[in-house]
Amino acid sequence: MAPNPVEGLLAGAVPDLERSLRFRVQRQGVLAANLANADTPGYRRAELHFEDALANAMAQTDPRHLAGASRGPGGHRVEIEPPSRSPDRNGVDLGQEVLEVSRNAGQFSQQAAVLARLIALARIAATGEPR
Amino acid sequence: MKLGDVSDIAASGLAAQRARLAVTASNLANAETTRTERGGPYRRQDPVFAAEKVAPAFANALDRALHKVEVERVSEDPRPPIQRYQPGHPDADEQGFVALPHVEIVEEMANMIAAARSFQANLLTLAKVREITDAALQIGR
Repeated sequence: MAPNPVEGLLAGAVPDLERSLRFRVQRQGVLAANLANADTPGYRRAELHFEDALANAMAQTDPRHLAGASRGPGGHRVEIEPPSRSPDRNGVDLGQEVLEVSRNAGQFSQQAAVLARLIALARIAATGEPR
Repeated sequence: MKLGDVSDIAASGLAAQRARLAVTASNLANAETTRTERGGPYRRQDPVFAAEKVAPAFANALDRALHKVEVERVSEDPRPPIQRYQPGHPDADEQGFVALPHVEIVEEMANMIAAARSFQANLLTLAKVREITDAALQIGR
């Protein structure tokens, strides 16, 4: 029997999208903290890097081990940048940070829209009629 | 970390920048003040910002990286008052000099513009949190 195309669609793309959406929300928090501290002397900029399953498998040789100290929920890598050399030792560039906040939110919206369409497609396939 | 935490962080930024704006306004308003409660001319002030951890030390790496901002204290500018020769002034000394606060109008204006910019940036974070919430609510439709 041929595999169910709807099942394949949901099983393949939905968990990836969900993981990506979670990452976007987490990254928004890191960027918000950078922006709030754009004028705090000595603040070190933080960044969240998306890590794929392979990188996680490499970092964690046994699933029973604790995740690395620099990893947040979802296994994404948290990076605290080295102290800046600017006079107030603050590494945040307001313009760059604003750009990243906008871009990150935009990517969330795009991925959320794709997920919404996938669910709509699955609904059509299941019921045989568009809503 | 929840989306609400992102709003809290942005709100702390708004509060800090608003406080900075208030201190700048106080400096500008008192640029010519020669009498204060503890005597002498007004002394220029500066807010001191400090990063404040959102989560306890045992939280995961992401939560430990999150910092709100707070106004730790308001520091006093150590620069001595400016002596201006104005013999007619009621607070002039025997030589005719008046001690005036060391407030540079240009410096305060630059500070005010920077505070307004940072305030706007935190406002943008709040707007984007709303955008994310709206997009998330569309998923189930």
